[in-house]
Amino acid sequence: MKNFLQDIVNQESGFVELRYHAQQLNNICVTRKRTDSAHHQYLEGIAVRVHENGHWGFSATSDLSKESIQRAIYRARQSAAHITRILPNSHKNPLRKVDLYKGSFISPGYEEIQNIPFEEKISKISQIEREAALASSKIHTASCRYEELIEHRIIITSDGAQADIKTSRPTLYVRCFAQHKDKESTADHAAGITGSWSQLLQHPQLINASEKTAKKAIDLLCAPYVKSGTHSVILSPALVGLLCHEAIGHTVEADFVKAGSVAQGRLNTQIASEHITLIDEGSPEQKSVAGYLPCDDEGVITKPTHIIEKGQLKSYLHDRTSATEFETAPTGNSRAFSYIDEPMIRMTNTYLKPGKKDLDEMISEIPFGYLAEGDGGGEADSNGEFQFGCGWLWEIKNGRKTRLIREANLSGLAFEVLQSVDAVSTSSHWDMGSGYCYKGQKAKVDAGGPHIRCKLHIGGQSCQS
Amino acid sequence: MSVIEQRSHWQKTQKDSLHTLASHMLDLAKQEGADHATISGSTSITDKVVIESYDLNLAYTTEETILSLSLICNQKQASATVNTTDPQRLRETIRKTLQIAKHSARDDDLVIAPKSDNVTTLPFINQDSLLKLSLQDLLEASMTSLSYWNHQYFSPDRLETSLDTSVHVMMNSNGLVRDELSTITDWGFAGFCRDDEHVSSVDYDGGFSHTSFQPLTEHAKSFQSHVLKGLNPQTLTRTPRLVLITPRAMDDFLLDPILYHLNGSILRDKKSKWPTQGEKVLPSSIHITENPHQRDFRDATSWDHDGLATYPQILINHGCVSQHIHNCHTAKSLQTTPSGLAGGPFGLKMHGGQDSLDNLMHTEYVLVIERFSGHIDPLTGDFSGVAKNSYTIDKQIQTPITETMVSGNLFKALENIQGLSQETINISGSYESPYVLMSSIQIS
Repeated sequence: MKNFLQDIVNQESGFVELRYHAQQLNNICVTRKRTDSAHHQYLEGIAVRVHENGHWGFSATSDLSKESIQRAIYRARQSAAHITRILPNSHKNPLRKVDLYKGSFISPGYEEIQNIPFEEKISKISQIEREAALASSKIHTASCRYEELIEHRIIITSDGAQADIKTSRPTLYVRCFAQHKDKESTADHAAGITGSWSQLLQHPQLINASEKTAKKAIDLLCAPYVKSGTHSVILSPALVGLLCHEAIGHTVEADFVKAGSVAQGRLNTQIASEHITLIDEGSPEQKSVAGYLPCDDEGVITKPTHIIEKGQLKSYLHDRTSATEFETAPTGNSRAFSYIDEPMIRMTNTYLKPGKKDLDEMISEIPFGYLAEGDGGGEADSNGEFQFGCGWLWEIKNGRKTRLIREANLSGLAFEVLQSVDAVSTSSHWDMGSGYCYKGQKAKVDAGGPHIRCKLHIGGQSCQS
Repeated sequence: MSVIEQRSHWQKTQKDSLHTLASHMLDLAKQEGADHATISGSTSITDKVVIESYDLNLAYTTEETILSLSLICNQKQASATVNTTDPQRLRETIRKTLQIAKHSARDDDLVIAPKSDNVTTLPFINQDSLLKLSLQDLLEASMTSLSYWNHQYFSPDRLETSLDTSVHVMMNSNGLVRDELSTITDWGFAGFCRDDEHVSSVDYDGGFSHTSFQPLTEHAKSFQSHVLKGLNPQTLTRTPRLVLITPRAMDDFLLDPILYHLNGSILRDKKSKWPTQGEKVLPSSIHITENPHQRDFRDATSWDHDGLATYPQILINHGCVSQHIHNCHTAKSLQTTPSGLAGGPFGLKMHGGQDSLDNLMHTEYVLVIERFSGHIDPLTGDFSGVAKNSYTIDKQIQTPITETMVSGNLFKALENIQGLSQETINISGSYESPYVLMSSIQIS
């Protein structure tokens, strides 16, 4: 396929990018002994982009014949030509030269995950569900969901990218709904990686996941709600990951910066405390991160992008187009979810660097506050305003963890919260690999970091207004 | 051939191809050992224009065929989705799906829709006025809209317009056959306002049409004007007793939790608070209907995801449960009849009340929530989150406010509804809703 696509590109004039993308997305969901879903999906096609007179034209085809790909190239050229007709006086610089990936990559576990029969996976998912459901009479419903995203991408561009990338990204979720008298609560544990089925099952979040999830749901039945207010909060790695991704990461995506996000015009200014160094990295040392990519969907080699360095905003996240406009280098953040999606600027694996403080020491220094754990998803905004849910909190009084508190909502202005960070723990974890980022299309990402201590607004059921 | 004739010809050809393909797949499924099979196929051509910030930087045309199959064998089910029409690959897909089904849990309630009469094609669903459109038309409309975004404090993030021409076919092994040709245009705006001091939240607007492609100029002007109202937001210093939920915030705030408890799957799992038809569960002012044949709704359709005919019906009848949302499977498991709502609802409307919007807004100091970002537990009704793009109204003066947290319990708040506007608004073709005035919401 690689040589086939290269031959086609070689016959074309101007800038042409072909992306072969074969995607398997399989899922199994078991609830109350019922197989609610046993679904396999296979989509395969070629995405085509051309860049003419500074404008992009895009097309796609699921027909892998040479004629069909050439027709798609023609359609993409027509689309770009339409734009040129509408904007005849629009002059843009050609795309800057960049290091492009030439080679092959297969993520560990790529073959293994496909060789394990679906029935073995169904059996394991059913077993986990049953273990959770039977953990206690207070467990009303348990569910276990497994998903695997297995992809083969080949990216060939007329200026030299020749990437052949195979990845497998499995994810497992366990959820328990507990009920006792008039009280109800929900808890879940989840993990997602790039890797194999067996690696996933050995993820720390999933060891004894059934028992842990059931126990948490039952413990939360009696837990009170938090009182709203601004407090000293220690965020767990999962929530640090959410903060990095949602509250900061999106505001520094160059398309959003261009539109006027809060990060616009703030390069080389102090936007966070000196404890904060934030990095987005497609190919970190730990290859099992859920968003591992040796190159992006433009064939740009991924390298660590230091977004924030000791509190100073140092870089935005770019694709080749925005990098050209901003007169800088692309950062390997151009991604498309399927062959029929156009690439756009997306994060990969976003994390804070660890610090110097021990977690117990951080807790001991808080007269009153919270340790927030268990992420519940969230969103952030152009102005850095964010909100996300946390599964549960531990109240801290006089330097000690006391009682468990039910799920709450955390919010604030991202840069203000980062400026308030006064301690960062030594140990660090990736803990956001089980979900997707949505920005018109999905993207598999990961995020995490150490525990951090900061000031945040917590919303609960009882307000201090 | 004219553009309309070309597109119509393409649709007819694709419809015939999909019919042949689906029939062939049903035969293959039977040969391979399936007891029951449902095949759905769709082919679509999409033209799309994307403008980021003020930059027209992407236009595209794509064509895709997607086939989905659901197979039942010995009351065990599995499903698949592919985008190939190659006969050998399809056979392999069917074999793999049956192999997976063998290891699913047996479920005696698995069932497919019976053969039923043909359904009436909705008359507005495939109009020549849209079939004649081209990418050039979308480009020109987009650029014209952009020209109205000229305020120094307005920051457009994204403008998209698209035209989707498609064919859908569904068949099952009971002899049910459905097909539909459709053409639809969509548009979407995202933008925010910023000055030297402040950047607002992103605001969104969007719409669609089954029937005509109108210039977007009025929408563009109105969107910019609406977004600019968020300039100079103030911190909330005085807590209002009352909160007005706008139609835009209603799906997160109210409609989703209500639909959750009407959902057949939730009912089956004994998690629904409202299992009994006729039971009064909400205030009498709440009246919710399903209107699947109305052109104002983007998902208007004459058949549901099981292939059964859809029809107008009442879901909540002045506070009482009138209809649950069942597909064939959940209906059989609960020994009731399917409600033509599999995959739906398709035209959800919460009806207006007795109060004028003017009265609701101006009687007392009120917080108006345009958008809600947060968490709502549909099971318990507990919610906590941030009111976005929101403002207060006090003695006719409207003041945008900064981030404000709201929390409470929806079902308790519904017991204390203070008013429902007569006026309703259709939100981008997804649903229609009035404004709802509530107390019992905590604000911080």
